[in-house]
Amino acid sequence: MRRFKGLLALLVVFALMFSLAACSTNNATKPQDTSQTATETVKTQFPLKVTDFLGREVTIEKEPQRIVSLAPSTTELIYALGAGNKVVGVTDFDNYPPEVKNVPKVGGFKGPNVEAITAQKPDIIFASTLSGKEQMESLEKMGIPVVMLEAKNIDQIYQSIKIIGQITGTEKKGEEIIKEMQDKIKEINDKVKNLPKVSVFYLVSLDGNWTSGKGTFIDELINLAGGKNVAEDVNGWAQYSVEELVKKNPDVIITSPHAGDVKDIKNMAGYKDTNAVKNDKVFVISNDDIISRASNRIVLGLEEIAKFLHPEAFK
Amino acid sequence: MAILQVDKLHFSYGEREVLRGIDFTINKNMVIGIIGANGSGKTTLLKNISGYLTSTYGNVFVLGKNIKDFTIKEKAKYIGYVPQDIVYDFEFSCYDVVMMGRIPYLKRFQSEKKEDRDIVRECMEITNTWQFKDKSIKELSGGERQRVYIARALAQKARILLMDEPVSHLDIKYQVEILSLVKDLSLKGILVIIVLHDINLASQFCDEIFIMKEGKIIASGSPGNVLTLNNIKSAFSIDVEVFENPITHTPYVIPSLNGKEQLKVV
Amino acid sequence: MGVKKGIYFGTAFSLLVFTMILSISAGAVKIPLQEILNVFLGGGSETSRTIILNLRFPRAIESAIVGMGLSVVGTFFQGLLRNPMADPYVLGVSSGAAFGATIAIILGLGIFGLSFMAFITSLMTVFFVYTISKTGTRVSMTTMLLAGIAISAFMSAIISLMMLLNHDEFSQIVFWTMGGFSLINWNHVAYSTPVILIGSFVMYVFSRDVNAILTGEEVAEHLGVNTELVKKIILITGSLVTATAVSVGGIIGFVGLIVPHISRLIVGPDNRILVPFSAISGAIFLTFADLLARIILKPMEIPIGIITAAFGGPFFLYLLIKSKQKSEGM
Repeated sequence: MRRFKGLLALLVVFALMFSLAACSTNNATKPQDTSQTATETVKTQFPLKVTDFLGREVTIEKEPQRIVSLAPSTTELIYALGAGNKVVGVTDFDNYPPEVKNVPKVGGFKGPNVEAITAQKPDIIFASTLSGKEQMESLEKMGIPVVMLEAKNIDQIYQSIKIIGQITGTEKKGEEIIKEMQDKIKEINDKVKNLPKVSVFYLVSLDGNWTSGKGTFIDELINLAGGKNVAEDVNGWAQYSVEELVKKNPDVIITSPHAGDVKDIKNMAGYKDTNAVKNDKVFVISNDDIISRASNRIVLGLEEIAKFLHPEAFK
Repeated sequence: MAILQVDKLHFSYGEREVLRGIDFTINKNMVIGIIGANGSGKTTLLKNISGYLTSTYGNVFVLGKNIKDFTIKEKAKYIGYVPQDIVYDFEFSCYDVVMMGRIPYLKRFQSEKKEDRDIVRECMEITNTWQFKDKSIKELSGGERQRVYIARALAQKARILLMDEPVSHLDIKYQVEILSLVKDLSLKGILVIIVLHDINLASQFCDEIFIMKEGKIIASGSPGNVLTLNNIKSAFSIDVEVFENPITHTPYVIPSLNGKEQLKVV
Repeated sequence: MGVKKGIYFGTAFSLLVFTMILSISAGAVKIPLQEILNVFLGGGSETSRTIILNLRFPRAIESAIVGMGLSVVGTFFQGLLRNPMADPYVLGVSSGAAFGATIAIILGLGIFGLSFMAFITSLMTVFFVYTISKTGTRVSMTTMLLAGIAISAFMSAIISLMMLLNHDEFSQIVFWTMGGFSLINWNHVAYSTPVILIGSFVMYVFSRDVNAILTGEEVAEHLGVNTELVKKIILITGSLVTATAVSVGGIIGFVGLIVPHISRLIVGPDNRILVPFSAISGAIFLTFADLLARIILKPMEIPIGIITAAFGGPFFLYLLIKSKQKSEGM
């Protein structure tokens, strides 16, 4: 029985590793560009065919009135687009905007609850790769269209906005949001692109020394903010060697509010000797959602990071 | 001084009284057989004598000293115990197992000395187990295993050897072998008290028999005196006919047909 | 047999020294041997000194100490419980530690607060398991085993509930339980080494008693072994050692289960020989596993539990097959 438990624990570790790897590796196929279809018509015609991030062609019969969102990032975008009043189901992880507090929860960290979802009688479900293939398949069999969105970089966030905009009849607002984002990003990037790049290490968690490597939003934001992610030699979320960190000697360390006590970080062997700690350049991001969620708030994260890296440019 | 004296012994497991007043004194080395129905308290009596269980009332004296005043190690120097169910799911060699009998004589960090090794050898030779010394105890037959455990108890240089149904699940060859050995040991200066299931084996090999019923000894003495129709009926609730064993001249007990009951001989 | 034993121990000890040296010499950052020597002679660049003296050295020692501790406890628990499937966590230490760690993380107690909480709650859990398994003055090992399993399951449920109600800390808790030596420093070594070394020695003192207990508790007591005292001491000391190991390294599986078995297949069941051999083997195993964890995919580090499982399992199977062949060939 103990052996079985050991095997079970091993499976859990493997599952966790693989899901973390899946979170990070850039293997979601790029969705077909639907902008062409959008520009041909002034108002979306239903039934609508969209191609989601997994390359699936999903047919939506009429404009959805009861939306279930299984990804907090998608929820944020739906509300930003003004279709928030149509959201009837979200997950336990949803926390923005504040209105979602009152929306029924239909999924948690054990995955989506098919019963709870169907109880809300949705006519569309926005899912992510973490939503559970079997559950999504059984919902589709019930005739509810499931659209998979999984943005791994800012361009893909724009794609998500376009798809959601099309489906919810808010393309115009979508275009506005995209323009706002692009403008803001350009504004920030212009301020820093000619400044010398600052080497940065982002600490996700002190236990295990987890960081965000190449292919993560944080990585992209660091680059846009005029920095260089010292952990770009690993992919996705990974435990980073403290030795390597010492060798790379970052100028700035940014950490999440849930990574551990900043005092502990500053006293940690290895960390102690980095330029970042020596020059007291260890910053805590105000909110880790704004740097890891595929929503329009990513620009807020970019701004915060840019200010950490190049404070002089933002005076 | 008596070798073993049991005085007004009472023992209860929680609320349940299992021994209800046991008294006896033994002055000579011999083989004493304890027989009785299941639940009559035989094993409990044995464990009270060894001091593993502490009596709720009454006392046990070994060579004049109250067993409650012995330390655990001292008890092991006087009393050897071979339990009913022998655990043998481990990889020790027979030699190692018998050497454990020397634990009462070894201090915490002391290694075994030549004296210990000689004693182990001697005990294994007496029990005819020396040839198994390097074999794992798992590889032996039931009878051979039993002999190794007896060798271990002997290595303790115990004055009293307690055995709980040592031959119940053994082939007849081994039953005779073990009981003969045990009889032999009693001649060499050891008091052996042995719980037996088989009345006739007890009759054949024991110098004295105690019959137990519901926590009391209802009869004690030589097999001839003790194994009567009434005693057996009282203790075992069965009618028997008593004959004489032509070889040992001790009682030989056979369940009898009683008119209404038919006994099938399988 | 004396000569054979000497060879086994000699080889094991040499292997340990070799593994330690290897662990200090190798890592994500390539540092030439000459530079390593310089560092130990008082020189070397600042980076090299930091890496070798403040990162690799304490890490090598800690992984050896934890490996040793878990293996010794595993050996004794397997003996005491007379169960080959027993490991150091079987009586609830790991779930107790995870419970304390979860609370510490949710309350934001910082690193030392976390280690402290994990340590305290793991001991409380074992104490609880012991108390409910006691009948009068005796405690049944089988009952403790079952109680440990039940309590562990219960605590896991509570932990899951706490994680559910505290999403933000979810990943942190998971990362802690995964275990590893990523951020070991000399403080960890300072407080864990004496506890684990002394604890292991205290248990070792009772090796012969546990040998006897392996042949049956009642029988052992009749042989002059104070079984209740031995059980108490091994349980308390074993739990202290395990709790310490878990508070520095998280919950690392397989070591405490497999190393005693592998050692037993090599040197036999006598705890007086088996325990020290397990200790050395455990130190080698975990130090080597930690080394692999940090160089296979450098600079990324693999969770050490994956390494211990991946290498421990098949190697054990190999030894089992070999010993089976040997006994069948007889």
